[in-house]
Amino acid sequence: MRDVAGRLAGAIDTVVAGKHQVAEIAVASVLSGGHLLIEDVPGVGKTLLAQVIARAIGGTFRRIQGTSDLLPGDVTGSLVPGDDQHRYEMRFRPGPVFANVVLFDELNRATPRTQSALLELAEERTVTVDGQSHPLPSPFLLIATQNPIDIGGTYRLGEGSLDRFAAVVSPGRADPQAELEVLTGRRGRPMLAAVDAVVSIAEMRSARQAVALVDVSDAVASYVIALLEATRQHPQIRLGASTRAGVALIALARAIAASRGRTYVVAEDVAVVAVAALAHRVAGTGDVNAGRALVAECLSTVAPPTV
Amino acid sequence: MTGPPGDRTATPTATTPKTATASTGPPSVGRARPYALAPGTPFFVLTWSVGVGVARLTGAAAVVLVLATCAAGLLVALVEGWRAARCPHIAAVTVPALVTAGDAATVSLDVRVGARRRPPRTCRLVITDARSRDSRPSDAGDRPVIGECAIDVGSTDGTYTIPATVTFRNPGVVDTIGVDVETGGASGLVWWRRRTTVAVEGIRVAPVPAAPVVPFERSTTSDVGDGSSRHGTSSGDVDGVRPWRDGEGVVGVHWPSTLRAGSLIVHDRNPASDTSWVVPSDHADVGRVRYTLDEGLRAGHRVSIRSGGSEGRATVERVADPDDAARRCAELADERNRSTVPIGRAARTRSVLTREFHPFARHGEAATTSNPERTVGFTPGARRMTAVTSGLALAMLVTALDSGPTMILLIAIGLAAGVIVTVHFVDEAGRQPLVVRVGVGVVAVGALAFIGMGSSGITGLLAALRGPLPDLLMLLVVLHGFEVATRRTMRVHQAIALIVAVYAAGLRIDDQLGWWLALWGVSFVAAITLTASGPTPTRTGGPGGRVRARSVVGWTLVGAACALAILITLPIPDGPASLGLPALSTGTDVASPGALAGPDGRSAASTPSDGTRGSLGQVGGYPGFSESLDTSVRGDLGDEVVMRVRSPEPAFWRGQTFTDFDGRTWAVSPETGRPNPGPTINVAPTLGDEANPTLERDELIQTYFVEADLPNVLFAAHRATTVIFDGTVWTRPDGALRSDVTLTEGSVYTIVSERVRATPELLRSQGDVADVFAAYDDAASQAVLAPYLELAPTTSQRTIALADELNRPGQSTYDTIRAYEAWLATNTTYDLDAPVPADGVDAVDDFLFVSTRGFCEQIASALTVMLRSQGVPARLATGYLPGVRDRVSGVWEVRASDAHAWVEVWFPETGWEAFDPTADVPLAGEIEAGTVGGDLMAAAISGVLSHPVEVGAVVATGLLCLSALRLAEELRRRRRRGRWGLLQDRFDTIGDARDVPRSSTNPQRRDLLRTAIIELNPGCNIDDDIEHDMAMIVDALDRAAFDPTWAEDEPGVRADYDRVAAALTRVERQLQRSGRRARELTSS
Repeated sequence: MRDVAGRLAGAIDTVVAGKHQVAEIAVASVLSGGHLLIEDVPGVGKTLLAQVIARAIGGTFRRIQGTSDLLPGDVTGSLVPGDDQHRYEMRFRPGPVFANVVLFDELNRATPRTQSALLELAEERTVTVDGQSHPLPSPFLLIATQNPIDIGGTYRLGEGSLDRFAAVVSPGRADPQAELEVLTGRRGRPMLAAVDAVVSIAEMRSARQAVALVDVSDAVASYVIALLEATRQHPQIRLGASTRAGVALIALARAIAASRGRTYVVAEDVAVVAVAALAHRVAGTGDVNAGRALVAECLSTVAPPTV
Repeated sequence: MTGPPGDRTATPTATTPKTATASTGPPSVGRARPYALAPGTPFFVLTWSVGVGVARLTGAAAVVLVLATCAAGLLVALVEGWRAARCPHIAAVTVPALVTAGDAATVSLDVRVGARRRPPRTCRLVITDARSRDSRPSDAGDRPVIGECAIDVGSTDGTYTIPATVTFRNPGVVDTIGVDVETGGASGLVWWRRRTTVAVEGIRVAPVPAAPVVPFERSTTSDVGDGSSRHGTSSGDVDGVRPWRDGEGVVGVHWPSTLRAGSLIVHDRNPASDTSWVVPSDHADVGRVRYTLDEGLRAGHRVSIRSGGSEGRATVERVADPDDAARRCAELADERNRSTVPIGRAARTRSVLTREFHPFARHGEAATTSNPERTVGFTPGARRMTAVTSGLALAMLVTALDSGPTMILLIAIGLAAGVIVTVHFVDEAGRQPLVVRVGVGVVAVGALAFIGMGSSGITGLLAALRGPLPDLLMLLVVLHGFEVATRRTMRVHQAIALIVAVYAAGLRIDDQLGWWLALWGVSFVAAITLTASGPTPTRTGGPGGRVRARSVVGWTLVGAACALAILITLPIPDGPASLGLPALSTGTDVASPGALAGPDGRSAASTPSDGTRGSLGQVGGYPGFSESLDTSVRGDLGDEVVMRVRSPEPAFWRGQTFTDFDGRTWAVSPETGRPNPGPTINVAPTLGDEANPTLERDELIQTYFVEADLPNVLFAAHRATTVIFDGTVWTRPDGALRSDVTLTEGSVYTIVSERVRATPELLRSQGDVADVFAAYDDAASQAVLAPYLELAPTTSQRTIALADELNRPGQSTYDTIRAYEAWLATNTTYDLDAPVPADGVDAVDDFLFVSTRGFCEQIASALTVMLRSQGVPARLATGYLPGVRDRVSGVWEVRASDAHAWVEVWFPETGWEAFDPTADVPLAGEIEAGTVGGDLMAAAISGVLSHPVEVGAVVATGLLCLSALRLAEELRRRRRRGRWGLLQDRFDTIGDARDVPRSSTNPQRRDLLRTAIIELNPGCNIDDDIEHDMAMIVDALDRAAFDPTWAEDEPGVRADYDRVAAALTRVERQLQRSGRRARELTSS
């Protein structure tokens, strides 16, 4: 289990320079079975991060580029007339979401219709077209990217939509050392081709099972509750984190614990993922950056449990 | 943003967005002012003034002590409350940018208390809408309070972020928030308020949307409309689409196709965004304007607001969204406010105590509006402590009245029953069960009726005063215990306890009073503070009980110092003990009036002159109190307390004087004087009492509490002018007083004395007294003076020669007396067992030249004889020395061994003046008046100096107890925390010393520690071993905390424990080393 996580994180580190913490959270989100939103300004390696995760995981991979004319059917697949033998039958042609890893680039450029169709199927893991359900392959992992600065021609994700993502990470600008490695070609996109599928689908499945078996003590759960309560009491947060946010936070913390080779969650695991798991679930204004600061503030007011 | 306008509560967040804004400028902090008294507080002042009356009536130093301590306590409580009000500092306020009037919003207050302090328990923050643009008066009396909260949330370092729910009532723009810190301090009696005014970026308080819509202009830019901009017209009939409903812009019905299809065909060919509404802003009801704007926005129209009254200057601005609409309406309301209320009216009025001062009204009411405490309930602990206070006060009274343990038991049961009833059986409204109320009333009325019927006539009244009346007082106090239902009545009960305690302190003259008062004082203070604190809010974090204990000790010391400072300026009170119990004459009538009688009432025979000594209680027990005094016999003086004298200053308590001396025995003049019936007797001046009226004289009031059966001799200091005694008193020619009954134990009498302030200079200035008296050469004067100049026939020549020798020519009599006293002090010794002179030998001669040993009678006799030989009138006086003063009750404790004899010399200007040749006291009246505090200080200092071992032992025991308590606490903590918990605590301590925030998890703590080590050793890399150690510590601690499979008693875990403990020690050492090295580096 630790091995799986280590390999995934290693693969990310070989390509994306100096973003180990983001890589860890991304891996945790992958292992917890949640979907990942990478949000940042252009040019900091959002898509690269998504791509490397996709490549590192074996299994099928599709990529969708979000545009304003993208229709839900383009994503989910649609009914098309049959082939020559069955000319008068409508046949379901699966869309690009039928893959183990789906990378949706520029999510906020897609129309709200498409966004909600995508996120709904990501949650349900089923595509229903014309009354017929088509299950998505398992495991199914959605990695989306979006640029929060670009306002023109974008459709901001609603609170409900954001809630579907287990974690929102923001790689941020690289430090000079990492930038040097990117500019000299030692890291970055040129290295992407060198990444192989380091984790097989079977390994992913067993890793996810192992994550689900990680123990959560009452002390840690109380810590999470205290955190949620802190976000609810914070005067600048309109609506505090929900219970579902707490569930997602615990799931991520489990994955972190497992990826660090433990069979139990410690307070540190919660603290590491709290910002990524809660930032997009508290602010209510859709501004995840503001949410990050607020959650960090809440985190600093709650004393973690100890022995 | 599309909720229906009437359903605002369903989506509160949709209409009150919280774009929070923080305070814009530094808060301006006002001064702390007192603004209200806690209910019941005036009763303390009332009882305190009653106590002043008691002090004046009894002249008891203990009452002054209690009153001064109470006054000091009140002062300290005031200062403490003032300090407490200054302690929480409002650092910043975060407020919402936009709210709707009447809606709950959250304001976040950053409160700094200080790292080593705790906010007082009674502290709360009241948030007011102190809008400065709005010129509504914002004085303290009519504050627009919008919310309040307590500082009771968890904290780590004395900084609190407190969310408070506020409700703005009036629409407008609020750019100033007032935060009042209100606290009563620990005592909770006087409430202080300190206002912090914080300027904020204007909070838009929008009016509540109110239906219906205001008339507005409506226009359509759509090509399908008819372009008419009249309100209510349809969008257009050109294509057959009409609005579904009047004012409905979204959906229209296409009638032609509807007709064709037979079902309703709806078209939205006239997009709502093409319709624009222009809403005028000048409608009277801003709420309706907002409603209209919201309606338009909800329907999706382009909505604008036209401001400015006249058409020419009107500006039309687009309203973006409902928030924008709310904001604009708030500003609109703000403009209205400014235009309607003149600015000049915003005069600030001072906050005054009287504004919310309802001391006596609203009894039993839950008057929370004017009550600074907001609540009227109390904790069982406070109730119990109050009962203890009144119980102690009653016990003090009971023991003063000698009522016995049965009474104490009854009182204890009554008080306990009162506690049980008031704690458990009081309903929500603060009322006791009907049975209790009726029962209390019946018992109280019955007791009053019993007293009323029993105490007829003066005897009955006296008996009532001695028995039932104090009992009634106790009964009423106990009954009042059943009435304690609110904090106010509890304070009244405490005030009653104060009165009872003061009364008892005035009555009691025993030496245990100090301990009783100390015990009572502690319980009184505890009761007051417990009453104030109310139910304790649960607090997490913050500095613990040690901080509070330290502040309690600190304030107690300040209070003690303050009380001492007050007491040092207060003189020992003088006053008649008229509040003392009336002295009932239970003594035996004396057979021959005016004659001396022993306690058995029989007349005294003369003292046996055979050298045997009588015992106390016999007439001859002490020869000074019989008709004659044999200088060769001295009574057997026991050590029992004879009487207690309440007097502000010490003096000789004189019983008798002797004039006639035959060389061995002094005899009292046989004349018995005149009888004077009591209870108030004016004593006429007798021979030698009439001093020069121009001399300054003062009054000395003494009350004698007789503690043993005594003869019928009344004692008095200096010259008695008034005697208050329940009986007939015979005033003898020499000024001695005798009663017609013997004085039994428990008799009380009061003497008012007059004394001339004699100074050595004054006495010296009168020159040689003998010369003055020699000038009175007429027969009458000689006859008067003769008895005081008469020498016994046996007086030896060498005595006279000695007197002559020491009386140098031209020397004043005062100096002669001093010379005689000096000679006696050098050439004779004081000896209680001086040999009895042989029969027929002159006692004075024998004492002066043969034995040279003697006791007071012999020394005083020698001085008298020597003075008489020089022509100076002198006589022998007997009585008691002042005795020892009890520092608390202020009474002089006179023992049998204090019996004494001294000399009185007649000075022409000042009258009889006492001289004591035995002691070093040169002049009896020369002692300066003391103060209550000075006496206490002197007693304390001398107590400490004279008992260093005992004081040391007490201090050591106290320290031992403290350390034992702390040890027990530590052991409890250890047991609670467990081994691994203690390791965690050690790890936390390392971090705390290096300012690692408490909100860090163990790995974060480790990382910060690593940073700290690197900072301490710049340029050095961290040791691999330490790195490994820290990793192990963190892993093990987290495992112990969170791993469910982890079991402490596994052998592997135990080995882990040792390893982790060792690693922790290494890390601690490493940090110490690094710190030392860093210090060395910086110092070099």
